[in-house]
Amino acid sequence: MYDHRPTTERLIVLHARRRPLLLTAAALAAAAALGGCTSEPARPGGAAGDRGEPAVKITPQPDPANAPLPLDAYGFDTSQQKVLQQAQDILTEACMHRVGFASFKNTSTYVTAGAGARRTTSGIGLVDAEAAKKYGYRSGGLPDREAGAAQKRDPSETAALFGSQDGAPAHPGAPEGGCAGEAARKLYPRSTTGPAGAPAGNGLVDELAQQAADRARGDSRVTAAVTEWSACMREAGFQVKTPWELQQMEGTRWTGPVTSEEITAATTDVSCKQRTKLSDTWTAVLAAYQTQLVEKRKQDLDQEKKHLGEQVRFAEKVLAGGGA
Amino acid sequence: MRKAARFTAVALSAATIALGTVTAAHAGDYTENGVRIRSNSNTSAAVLGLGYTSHTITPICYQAGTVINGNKWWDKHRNNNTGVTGFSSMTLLTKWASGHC
Repeated sequence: MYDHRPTTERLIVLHARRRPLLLTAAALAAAAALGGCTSEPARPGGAAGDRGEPAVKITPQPDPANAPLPLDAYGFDTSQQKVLQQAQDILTEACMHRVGFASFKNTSTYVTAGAGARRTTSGIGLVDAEAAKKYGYRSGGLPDREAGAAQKRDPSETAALFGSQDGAPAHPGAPEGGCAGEAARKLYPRSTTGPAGAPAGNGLVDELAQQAADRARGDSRVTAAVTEWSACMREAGFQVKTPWELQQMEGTRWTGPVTSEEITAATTDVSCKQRTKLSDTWTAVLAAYQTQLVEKRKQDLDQEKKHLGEQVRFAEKVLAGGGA
Repeated sequence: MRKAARFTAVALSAATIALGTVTAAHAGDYTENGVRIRSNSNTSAAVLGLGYTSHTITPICYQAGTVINGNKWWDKHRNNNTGVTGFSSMTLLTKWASGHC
């Protein structure tokens, strides 16, 4: 693990333990623990800039779960990701053929989300009304693993592909981590700058995305909207202080088949986020903090983007038949 | 207010699921940032690393575990960016293994 800062999981526990406190006080304590925000008392609805907060213009987002954000420009786009996956397939297959699995096809080892798949959650949980109505808090469009008999891969092929698993012997002649490991090492080389073992590619983008979200959670405009959302939920009979508390609940509360109670909770949740403008406020505030961080670290981000470009160029060379 | 009381009680008892923190339209294989990669397919297993929406994965195999969002399946995978191998709930991924562990 390369990120030692407090995680959201810890943040939510903090909220839960301090339930008798006002939401603003709990959010403030969490923000202080994260070390990213001022210790000045939060003022719900306070004007932009009075706590050193960036100015924001809150505009309606037709699809808040997929709203574009400033840091997106520094990651792979979908076409680049496709090129990387195709290159990984080619490199893995070349290696598997080399170690004795002549008919191996890497595409048989995984399935991907369909072309129509889209995100339905944001940093404040479920925000998609259509998904709430259809699936409640569940993820729609996942492969059905209950249908048909489960595939079990040949242990020898698994060892060649992924390396030794659970104490099983390695396949003779296969590289460390198997052929999949070798392909990944070629396409995602370790960082040659920064801390040892730093992740390949987007380490800085990940760090800044996390920082922006931490700051957005403590922002007075967001905490004010959260208070309104909580009141909206309470009016509908659901007593919950923050979307993060609810988001945590989503994972373990709804375990059986989807019930009408879950659908009601999910649709009320999304409707309250729209009514109180929490969805749009979150997007605007998060984008503002990302913009601040991008401006501050532009040189480093540009450097990281250059490295990503090199990764994509190597992948394109593999596709053209020159990199395996 | 019976419904409200039930809702709150569950909120207090939940503690250890992996959950996302940020929206970003990166084209990776995790649906959220900060997805926990665990040593086994349950929420009490050790966290070996974190997955971000910018990261891609190599799915290895799947097995049953703690039910997350009504789904019991967890995928063993290798995070291509960090090199960490472990399990995450399939509900937090956009690429999945085709073979059972």
